[in-house]
Amino acid sequence: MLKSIRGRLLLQIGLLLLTIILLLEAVFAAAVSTYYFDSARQIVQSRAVTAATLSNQFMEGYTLNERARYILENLVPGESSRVEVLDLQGRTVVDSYGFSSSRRTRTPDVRVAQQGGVGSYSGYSKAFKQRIMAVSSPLVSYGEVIGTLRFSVSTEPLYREVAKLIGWAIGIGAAMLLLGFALSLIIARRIVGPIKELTAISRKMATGDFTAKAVRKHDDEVGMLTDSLNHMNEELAKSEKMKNDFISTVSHELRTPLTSIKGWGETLVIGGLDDEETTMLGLNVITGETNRLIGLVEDLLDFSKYQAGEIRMRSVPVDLNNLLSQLDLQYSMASNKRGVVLLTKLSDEPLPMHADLNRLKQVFVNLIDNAIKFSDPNGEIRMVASRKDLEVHVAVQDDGEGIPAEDLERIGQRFYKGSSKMSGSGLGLAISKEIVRLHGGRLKIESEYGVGTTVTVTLPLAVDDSAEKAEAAEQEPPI
Amino acid sequence: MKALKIAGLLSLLIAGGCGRIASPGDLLHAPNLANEEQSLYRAVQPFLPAGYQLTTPDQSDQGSAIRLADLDGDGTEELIVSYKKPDTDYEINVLILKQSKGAWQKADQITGSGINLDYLGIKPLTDSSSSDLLLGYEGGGVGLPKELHVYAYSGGKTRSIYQSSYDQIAVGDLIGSGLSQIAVVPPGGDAENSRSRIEIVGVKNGKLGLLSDNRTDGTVLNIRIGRASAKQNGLFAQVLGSTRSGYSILVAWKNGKFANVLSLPSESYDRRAYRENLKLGPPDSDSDLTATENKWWIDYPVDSRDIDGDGITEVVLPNPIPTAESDSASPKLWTDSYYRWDGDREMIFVEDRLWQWGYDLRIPKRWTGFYEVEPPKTENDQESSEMRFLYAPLSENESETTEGENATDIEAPLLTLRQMTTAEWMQLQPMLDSREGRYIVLNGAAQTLPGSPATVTLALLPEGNAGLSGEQAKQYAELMPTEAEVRAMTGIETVEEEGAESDVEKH
Repeated sequence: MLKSIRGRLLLQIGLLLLTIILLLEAVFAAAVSTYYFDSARQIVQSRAVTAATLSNQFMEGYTLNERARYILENLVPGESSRVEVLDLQGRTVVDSYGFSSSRRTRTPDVRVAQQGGVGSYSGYSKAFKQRIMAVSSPLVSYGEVIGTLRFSVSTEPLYREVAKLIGWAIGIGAAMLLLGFALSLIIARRIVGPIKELTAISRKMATGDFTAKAVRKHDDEVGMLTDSLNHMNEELAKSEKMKNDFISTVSHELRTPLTSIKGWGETLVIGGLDDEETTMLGLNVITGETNRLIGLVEDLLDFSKYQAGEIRMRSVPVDLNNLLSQLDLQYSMASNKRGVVLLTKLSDEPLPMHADLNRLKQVFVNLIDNAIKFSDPNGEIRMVASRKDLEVHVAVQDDGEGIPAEDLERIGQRFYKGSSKMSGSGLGLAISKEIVRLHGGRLKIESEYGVGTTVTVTLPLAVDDSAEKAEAAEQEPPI
Repeated sequence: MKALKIAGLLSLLIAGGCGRIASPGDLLHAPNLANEEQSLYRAVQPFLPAGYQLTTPDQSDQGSAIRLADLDGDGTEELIVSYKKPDTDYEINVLILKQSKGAWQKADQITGSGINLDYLGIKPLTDSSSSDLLLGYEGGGVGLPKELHVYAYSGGKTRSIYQSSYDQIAVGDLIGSGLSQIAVVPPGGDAENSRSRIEIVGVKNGKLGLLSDNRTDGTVLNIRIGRASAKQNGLFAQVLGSTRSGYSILVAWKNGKFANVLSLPSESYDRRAYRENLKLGPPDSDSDLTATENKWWIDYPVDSRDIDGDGITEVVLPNPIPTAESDSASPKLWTDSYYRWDGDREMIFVEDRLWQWGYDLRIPKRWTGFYEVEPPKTENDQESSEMRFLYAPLSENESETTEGENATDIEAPLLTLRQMTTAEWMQLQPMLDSREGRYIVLNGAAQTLPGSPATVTLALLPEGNAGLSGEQAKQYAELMPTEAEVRAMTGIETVEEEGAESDVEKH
């Protein structure tokens, strides 16, 4: 019961309602009974005091018997109280029914009246076998109490009326409680229903049904949950597709060198090793293809390490210019087979930073390789480094085919290769992004389809000589 | 939708419930009589005219307007109802209902003229097997004679058997024969009229007639018939005369005739201060009560009453008490000394009562002869006044006039009564509490509440030996009252304390 929202809701609302209702009932019961009994006593008391005052004023000097007779004869018609005249011993001289009695009434009200006060009493009367309320007022003659005038009424109707009202109140309270339960059930159903639906749908999604879609019914928290669940499912579907693409790409990428290696291996086996030239060519091809495989596998290993967060940067203070000029030298020396030329423009200012040079080299190599790969043969690519305040921007530009706008957003995601038919694992850019991120920088890709692509790496510079640099920056604005 | 329906249903219920709420005033009604009275009250209703008023007699052996009594002696009771009609002022009706086959039927109705019913009695007067109905009508106005009518009831009808006018009446069995006699003071007797007398009417040759006629010489007060000794009834009265202040009489049936047994010789009367039993002279059966000087002289009239609750009426002898002040100008203090007749020639001392501040103080018997009273005095401008009972041994051979000199120089109070305003009491109370003095608040039930009576009466109990020594100290210690005794003295009962649930307001 308590494990469900409905149970908790019912219990909490129920308890709250019960407390409120009980409190109100208690206040009501106290108020009602006070009202009834106090009013009744006041009514009886005012009658008793009035009657006694009249008798005391106009019958001074008369005996108690005479006064009793006068009171009896002048009772208000339909007097609702029992009127008694008691003597000092509490014996009934006469009551409003015309009876006298030698039974002594010694309730507190009579005793108070015998001492000159107006006393009231409520309690059980054995004589009447019911609960009564009585008010006694002294009958005074020449300053001395000679007897007591006692008005008594039955309190049973009051008890009955109060009990009836309290009964009604309890009934209404119980009905309110039931209503509260019913309402909380409805509220619980409204809350729990959509959650249950979402649970069913998310189970469906978990089984791999990416077509499942939760329907948003209300613009509330549950609605937001629906949205994010749907979004999650879409993303899952995309990842799934990407994974499938990757597997096919990687299989293809792995198969191509293997086919080549296998072909050359078979050729060599069949042809023997007689033709030295052919043998050397075959072995070269096999070595090259094997290197490609190794590169591919290393990329995959690297990537999985990045994914697992196992890569640690071994940062040391370096100047980025050194790395960039080294790359420039490397690419201009070993010109590539596509005849693409690398033009490098370095910053005049030093670019001090804490970085793992090998990793950064991997980034730039990757970027330059990509640029070469997507450039037209004998084209040119540009690498421009510029410093802005405490950052350095290194842009690698090509005039290649560019990236369509719909791919641009997803480029750099793992396994995404875009629509290009070029070979590659699709991991290079993802790994580069990760390395740049680990250096506290960012990688931005701008491209126009058919015009070219610019990839800008922004890295933070070391802070230690920032003041000096700031001065320098003031004198000669950065390029 | 469901909630709406429920809400609708609820509001209907609430509205339905509220519609029937009664106000407290509407609900009040007299408690139903649970006993026979209810059925009697119902039974008489059909026989009474519209707008009737029940009326009760001023004097009666039983003061109900509706009563049961077996008038004809047939073993079933008749119902006697006295009432007035709304349209006539000078008419008193007495209705007699008889029971026939389980239902009440009207037997007879007696209509008398008078403004009120003075007396209603149902007593056997002529025949011990049946009762007669005595009705005394009051004509209205003080001093006007009243009319007594006596009816016999038989066969469902009433028959007038005696009639007389009277000023005072008492009915009871004086002779001890099972029949009652009527004692009346005829109208017209007062201090100036030496013809004032007390008549006793009873059965004589089968009819009601005058049995005794005692001449008195003054106003007769408080005539009553009650138990006078363990064995017989007597007629008590006080006569206020012109010659001396007055005397009490106790007329009893003695040796075949009515006689005043309170013939107190002067040597007995003079010993009254010792509060011992008094020897009586021979009963005075002279029809002229003024003939002898051996009387139970009283300085002021006090009605005889049963003081000790044994059913026998005690006679009062006003008795001066020893006072601490010898000043003759100060008013004398009196106790009411109550004596009970032994049925023969002795009056037995029962108790002394001292009336002060509304308290009927019972003087402990063991104090007799050992105390004097300092009369209430108000000191200077203070509103409180104080009365003290002081230890003062009184020896047998000293006369009343030398009491004062016998008192020891040391003041040894036995009990102090003090009356003060509530404000003074508020100041005094913490003082008394801190001294741990023993005291009792006499009008205690209301004193702690706001609007209590303006005065507080306090009884302070003595402590220590008040500087007495030897025999006197021992005596004093024996006389000292306990708190329970003081409560008993002042008539405060401990049950008075249980008034917790009552509300008290100043009237």
